[in-house]
Amino acid sequence: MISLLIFLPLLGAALMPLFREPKAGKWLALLISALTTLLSLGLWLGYDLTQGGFQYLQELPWIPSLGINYIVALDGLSLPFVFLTALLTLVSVLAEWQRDDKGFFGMFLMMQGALIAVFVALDLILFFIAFELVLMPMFFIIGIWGYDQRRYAALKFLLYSLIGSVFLLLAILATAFIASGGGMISFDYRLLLTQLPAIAAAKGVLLLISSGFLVAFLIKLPAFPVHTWLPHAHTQAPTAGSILLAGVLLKMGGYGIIRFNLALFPEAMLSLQPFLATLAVIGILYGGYVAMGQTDLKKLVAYSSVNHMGFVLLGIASLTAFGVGGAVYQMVAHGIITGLMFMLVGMMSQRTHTRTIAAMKGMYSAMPVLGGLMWLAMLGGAGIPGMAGFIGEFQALLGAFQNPATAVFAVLSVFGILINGGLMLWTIQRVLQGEPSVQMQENYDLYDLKGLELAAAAPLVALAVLWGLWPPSLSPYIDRAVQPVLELVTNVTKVAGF
Amino acid sequence: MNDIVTWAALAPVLALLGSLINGLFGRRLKEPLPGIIGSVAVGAGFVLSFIAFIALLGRTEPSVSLVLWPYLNAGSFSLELGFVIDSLSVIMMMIVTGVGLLIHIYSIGYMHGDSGFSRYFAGLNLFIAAMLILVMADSFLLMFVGWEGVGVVSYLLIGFWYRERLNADAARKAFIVNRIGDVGFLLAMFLIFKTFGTLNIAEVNEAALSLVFGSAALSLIALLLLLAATGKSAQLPLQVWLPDAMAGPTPVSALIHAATMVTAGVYLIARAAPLFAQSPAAAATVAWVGALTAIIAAFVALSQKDIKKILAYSTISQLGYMFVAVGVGAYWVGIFHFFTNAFFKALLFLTAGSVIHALGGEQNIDKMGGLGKSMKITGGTALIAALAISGAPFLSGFFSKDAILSASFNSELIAGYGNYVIYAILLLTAVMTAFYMFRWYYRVFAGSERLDKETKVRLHESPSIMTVPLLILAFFSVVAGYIGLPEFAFPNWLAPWLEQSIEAPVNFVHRAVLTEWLLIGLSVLAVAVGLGLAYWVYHLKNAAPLARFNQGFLGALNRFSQSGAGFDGLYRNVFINPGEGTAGGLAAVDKEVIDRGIRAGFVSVGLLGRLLGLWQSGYVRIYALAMLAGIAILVILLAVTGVMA
Repeated sequence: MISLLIFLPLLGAALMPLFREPKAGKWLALLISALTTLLSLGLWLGYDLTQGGFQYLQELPWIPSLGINYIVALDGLSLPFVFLTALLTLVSVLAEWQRDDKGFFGMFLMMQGALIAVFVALDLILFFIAFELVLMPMFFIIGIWGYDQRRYAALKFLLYSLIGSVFLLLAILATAFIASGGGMISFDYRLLLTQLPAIAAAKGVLLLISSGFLVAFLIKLPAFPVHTWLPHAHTQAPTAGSILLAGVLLKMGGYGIIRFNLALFPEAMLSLQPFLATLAVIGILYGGYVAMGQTDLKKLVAYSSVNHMGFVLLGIASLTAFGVGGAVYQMVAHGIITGLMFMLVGMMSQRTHTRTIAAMKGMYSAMPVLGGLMWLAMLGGAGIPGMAGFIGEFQALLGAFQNPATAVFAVLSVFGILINGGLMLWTIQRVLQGEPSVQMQENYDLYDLKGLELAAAAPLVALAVLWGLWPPSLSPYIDRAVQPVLELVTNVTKVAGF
Repeated sequence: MNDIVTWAALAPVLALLGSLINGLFGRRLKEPLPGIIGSVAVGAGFVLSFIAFIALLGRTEPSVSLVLWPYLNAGSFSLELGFVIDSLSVIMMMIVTGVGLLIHIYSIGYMHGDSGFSRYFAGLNLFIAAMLILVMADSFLLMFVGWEGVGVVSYLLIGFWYRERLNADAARKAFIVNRIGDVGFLLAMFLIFKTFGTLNIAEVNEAALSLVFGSAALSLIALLLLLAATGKSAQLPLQVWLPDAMAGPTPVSALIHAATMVTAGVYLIARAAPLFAQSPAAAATVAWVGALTAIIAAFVALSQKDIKKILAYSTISQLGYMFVAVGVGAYWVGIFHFFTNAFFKALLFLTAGSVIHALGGEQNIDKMGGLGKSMKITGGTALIAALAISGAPFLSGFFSKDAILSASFNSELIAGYGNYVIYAILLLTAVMTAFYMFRWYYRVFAGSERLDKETKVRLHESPSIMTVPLLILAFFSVVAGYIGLPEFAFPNWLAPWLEQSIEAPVNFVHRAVLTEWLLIGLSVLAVAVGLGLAYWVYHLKNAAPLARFNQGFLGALNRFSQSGAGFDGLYRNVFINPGEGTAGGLAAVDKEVIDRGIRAGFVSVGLLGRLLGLWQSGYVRIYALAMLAGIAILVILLAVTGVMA
């Protein structure tokens, strides 16, 4: 079943060139993304929470001689992301419905398949290939369908990612090699989980390997100071590209850190804790401040992601159940809320022909539904209780405060909610409040959201509220997956006598 | 749901429902339907709360808990959301829904013809829902949800007329200043969780009583909660947002920024009473913050010219009184003053609204005067409210204010922290209160008319949908105090009732009956002096003292008072201007330093550097091809080696 989630979109992408009619692209994309969304939802509902662990396991030999196999499965950590990927693709297709471009939608399907593969792969080489495969469609989406500086942005995105990939590949190879202990090499994640704690490698070596993973994931997240590819990629990407970029691509970073760094190298994680917490605080405070200084609305939202991902990193660095669980919750919430934000910004700039904050104002009175939803998304971004963003941030902060090693960082980060609140409200004031300028009213048709656009926004709004008010629909799954990982960390602390 | 009390848990749900209906479909509903929907939703909540109150009255243990669903889930720990309806929260609920209902009804008249009519009621109902969640919460976390919720709605309603830049500014300021307090709330919660391992208020309170008296952790928690309370309740040094918040529609000011939301800080401290009762240093800080706020705000109120700003500063000042009450350990008294204040303060704002409504938006008291003649009900009820807030004998404010004065005089909890000075400050503030309230009354309702000609023509008493709520509030402004008569000589119902929910061991000195009477005499004297001065200056229109306010030392003092005691200017120079500079500066740093630095680092990685150099002339498809080729090579490599092996 999981393989269907991967290969259905990939098949769709492959079939795309066969259609002659340009309109067929979006219909095919709609059909496939709707199917994957339903399917992933079905898998989620069918997941046995009491049993936990990896379910729907599928294992096929691929290159057995090298210990490389096709292994995919779902657990509480991957479920939300798989669903998020499917849903955001569907929503993106709806948001870009006015495009009659097969290539564009083909790229989207390809990206969807690759992204889902990233989250379900239990073989490290499979993971790596999927991780790399994501780059290509996004590169094209930015580079071909983006705005005027698209080439620079696409290339920057690619280069930053590739540098991370080099480290990631080396780290993966080294991990498998070390874990094998001279015996049969294997990239099976489950096997590595049991092998690694038993081997007697020098602490420094493990730290080095772990750092290799970390470089790739921190660039993806993105963490300070390797975040500067993000604002460019976002401003240049078309709306749907931004939705998936913020909604899912960044999450590969946080997911990777928990899945690999935390689970495979808990000891190294302990040594890196202060480093990661520092980066987190910088991301939160600095990211928020830099966002405030932006003049381009899309760039502002992009930088606010740096702030939000800072909470993710803080939660992970806390190494507590609250913190790591909160980090995952925050990633999901950010995917929903910021995805919505990018969608609305896209719709707004499509009407106003600008993304410059100073040129927009009074959008609420011009377009009450679009403006009202933007208002909601911005408040969600500010982390108000009742919406999903609050729970993740709160848990991440609480977890960080619980652990004496990260308590100071938590105290500093709390001020992030102040900056974040200021940022969002100031943006609301400049973009939504007031009256639209005469020039804007005369030159452009500021029509409110139409049926399909509303349909695209509706599921995101609903989920942002649902996961803000009723966390039992999400957090137990996350918690179920985070618990065993944290046990590995506690085992290390016990052995090492921390 | 067998217990009739638990039905009151539906009150916030109903308000939320009303808000949703008005928010989603309100545009299509004709006036006054959204107002009726809103009023019914709140009215039903009041009925449920009242029934719960009656049901609780006869019980030996008036407290009912209701568990909802888990909210935080991590490892073995799970925090359930839940409501607690006890003697304390049920009083709050009745005020929130009761006064709320009157203000909803009044608003149907006040907001008549506004293009945002349904949006207004959606907001007002949402506020009621959030405020109810705040007071009913059984954990600090759920309380915080309501706490932030009322903050957000307050922000939305202050900026209700969002087209005006000033209103939007005021709304944003309110939210941000409140968020400074929220930082305190969050930190307090983290520390509470670390210390007690729970966020459930009842459990924390119980555990706090077994902690060492005055321990550092307790004091720190209490002080952080105080920070939260100062934000929401507009106390020093975070009082600056409330006067600006008057930019919202006047009924909003009455409900949110006078009667209910701003008292949340007082409620928080009363709810967490054991934390404060166990930490005299923190308790004394609360009392001192309250006393200083009371007198400074009263000082500022003396000179304001905006009919609503005077009331805003008087709200801050009255909240200061409540802070003193909960600071000195007289928790029930804090709630008592909240109770009486809710009536007369809401009434004051609604009469001001009635005046503004009649004058077509005029708010400057220099352009009013003599309105009592043509607006008999508004003028008459305003007089009652002014007397009540001043503490005129036998009216509600007299009893609750006197209880605060007496408690601060007799407090053992903060006996070592200058409680007599606090008493003296409050006594002086009482003089000032009577003075500025009657300045307000005389300038607006009595004396000669100073209206523009156009306004004069339009002048009319408000419709009965607005005046009936005024009359009801006036009635309660008179009688509300009789539930809490001075304990030394009279039966007091409220104190033992509330103390069933607030179990904090605080002692007060029991003085001789004569001393107590003397204290009451002093309170009466304070009111008389303030009232007399105002009468002399503003009613007899003695020109000499008025002229003096513009000269010399008094003139300087006057200008200082008019500027809001200089806080806004100070904050602008110290925080806001540098903050805005930092944001712009850091954006430049990110672009010029961080981005370039990292790029330079990459460029030195050889081949990639050369690729990067190509970005301006290169073709996208070349890079794409290169990457595809890379992946292909990797896959082939793996496959080939696999086959070979």
